[in-house]
Parts: sequence; C-alpha cells; structure tokens
Amino acid sequence: MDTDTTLTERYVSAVARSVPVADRAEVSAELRASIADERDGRIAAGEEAGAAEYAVIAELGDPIAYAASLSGRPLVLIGPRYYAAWLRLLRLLLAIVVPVAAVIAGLVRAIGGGDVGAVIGAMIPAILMSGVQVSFWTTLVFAALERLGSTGDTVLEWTPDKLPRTVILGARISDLIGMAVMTVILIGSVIWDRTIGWGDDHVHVLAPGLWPWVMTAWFGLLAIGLVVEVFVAVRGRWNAPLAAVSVAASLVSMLGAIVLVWRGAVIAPDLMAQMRAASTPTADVVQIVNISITAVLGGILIGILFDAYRKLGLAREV
Amino acid sequence: MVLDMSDEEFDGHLQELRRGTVVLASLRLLREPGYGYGLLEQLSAAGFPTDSNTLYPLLRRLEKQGYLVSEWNTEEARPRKFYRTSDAGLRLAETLIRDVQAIAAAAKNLP
Repeated sequence: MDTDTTLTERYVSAVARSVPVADRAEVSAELRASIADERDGRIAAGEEAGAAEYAVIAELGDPIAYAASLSGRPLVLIGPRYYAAWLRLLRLLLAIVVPVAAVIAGLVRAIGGGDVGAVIGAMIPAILMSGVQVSFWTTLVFAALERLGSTGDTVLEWTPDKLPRTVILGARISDLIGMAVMTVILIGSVIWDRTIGWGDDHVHVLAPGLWPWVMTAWFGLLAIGLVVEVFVAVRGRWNAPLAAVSVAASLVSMLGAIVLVWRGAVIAPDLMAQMRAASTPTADVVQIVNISITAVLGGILIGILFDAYRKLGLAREV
Repeated sequence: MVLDMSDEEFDGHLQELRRGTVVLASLRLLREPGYGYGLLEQLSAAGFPTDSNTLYPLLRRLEKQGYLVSEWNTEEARPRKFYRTSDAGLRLAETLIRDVQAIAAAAKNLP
C-alpha cells in the first residue's frame, strides 16, 4: 500500500504550492509520510483503503489554510498591525475621491448638454465606481504590506514604554505608508485614465500629449517626495535640507501643472472641445474650469508648504 | 478520553484550554525521538487527543523556535522526520508543568 495514490498527491501538491519554495520539498516529504502513516493506522483499525485516505485528508482540511498554519502566514487580509492605518486612509480617500469623481462626472454630463436627471444619472455610477476603485486599491496595497512586511508575528507587542517621549508629528511611519499608498493610487489613476477611461463612455480626462515626458517627470517628482519621506522615517525627524527637497518637488509639480492647465495642455482635446461648445459669450467654461483647477492646486500647495513648516518647527522643538 | 468531548456547546472553550497542554505533552513525549503520526498516537494514549492539522504545524513552530530539533530517518522504507526535545525545550516543559499545576491548584480554590 506504499504507492502514492492520486488523492494524497493532489493534496500534497496543493499544500506545497502554498508554502515558501525553500520549505516545499521538506514539507511535501513530511506530509506524504504523515498521510501514509495515518492511512495505514486507519486501515489497521479495519477501514477500507480508499475511505481511510479520504478521511485522513478531510481531517487535515483546506490545503491553503493548512499551508498557512505551517508557515505561520496570516490568515487575515489585513491584520491588527495595519488595520488602523488602513481604515484611516480609506475613510480619508473616500471622503476626497468620491465627491470629486461625482462632481467631475456631473460636470462632464452638464457640459455635454444634459438636464438635471441626466447629470444625477451620471453622478450615481461615478460615486459607486470611484468608491469601489478606492476601496479595492487601498485594500490591495495594505494586504500586500501585511504579507511582505510581516515577520510571521501577527501579534504586535506593545508596552506603554514604547510611547515616544514627545510626539514628533513629522516623523511617523504612518506618514510614509500614507504617502506611498497615495502615490500608488495617483499613478494608478492616471494610467487608468490613459488606458481605460472613466465611466460607460470611457472618457479620458487628461490629454494624451502629456505622455510620456510630462507624466515621467511627474512620476519622478512623486518618487522624490516618497524617497524624502523614507529618509525622514529612517532618521526619525525632518531637517531643513529634506524639507527643502520635499517642498521643491511639490512646488515644481504644482506650478508646472498650473502652467500646463493655462496652456490648455492638460485636459483631453475632446473634453476641451465639448467645454468650448458649451460656453456662452458671458461664461467661458474652459476658463471657469481652469480657475477651479488652479484654486484646488494652489490650495494643495499652500497646505503642503504649511505642513512642511509645521513639521520643521516640531523637529526643532525637541 | 478524560473529558466528555461530545458536548459541542463547550468545544471552543475546551479547545482553547487544551491548546497549551499539547505543547507541554509533546515536549515531554519527544524526549525520546518521535515522528508526526507516532506522536499523534502517543498523545492520544496519554490523554491529550490532538488533531493532525494542529499537531504538525505546532511541531514545525517549536522546531523554528529551537525547542525541538529534527533529523530525517531514511533507513526505513518510508522516510520520516524525527523530532527530539532540545535542552531549551526541556526547560520550557518544566516551566509549563509548574504553571499547569499552579493553575489547577488555583482553580480548586475558586468559590
């Protein structure tokens, strides 16, 4: 009875697929021997061979769960280590992205000459889609963090001694994680815009002329911001040169974006044409949109400058 | 079996209470080298019935933590991985036994 039957081999390879490559051979060999031992034990107790093998494997249970418990992997999507950060960021992103998406979708339909019903009709799928997109990508990034960053200890040992003596707001790991997730989502959404587009009509908001050079430059600036954030997390606090690099990168990207908006190089030509067609002598839609975008970008820029100033001040105090 | 395990209502709590005792029993039984299925039988006979999908991951974890050492025995027809309790494992078992006794004594004194 020592020949391996199909059921055992199928189970062993299903488990082996889910354990780290380095452990695969050993886990398979040990599991194969254990199943054979148990099966023989049951046969000796009077069970029929096929039923014995089936019972042994049924008792071991779902191969993915079994493999996870063998290698100490988390059986949760997002564990206690990242749950709070995930929830905080998800709420923030939903609060920002969903209304913005709804307004853009409504605006596009209004410019295209829709009545109130059509505008609301365009906003509802935009709300649903952006909510699903934001939730999915944020969760995906944190689920990956949970797996890549995990050392196998799923319990976070915490004592009151671990509280920092003074709260250095400028140097928290959560800032780095937040920044990284934001960067991934920003880059993901512009790629989404270029390739698939938004809504049923697959509207591309950004001009294709931005690719590849302007977008590459912008990704570069985002990367610089992220690298600065990594340095800050490693050092534990901000200093003047790091803050200067971070502010410079933000200044260049925001001012660059404002200049490009006024040159008419940011918004897709189709959308520009629609906005022009919807304009009246008293209300130039293009100009209204440009002013709105400038106001938003300017607001973000002022926020960034204020944040850097505050972080630098806090770093000096301690 | 010492306890009446048929009462499904209490299963979750009983499992939780027994989880640590399987570690203790395994560490003591593996002073003599043993392999997965053999240990499963020994545990059952000694009054610590354990599921295979609980025991095997547990052995791996104890080995990683250095409380067990292992060696492959390829002399027989079926190659098996044999585990043996290390010195650190024996010290852990001592500590666990003291604790179990202290808990049993304390439980007796409960109102």
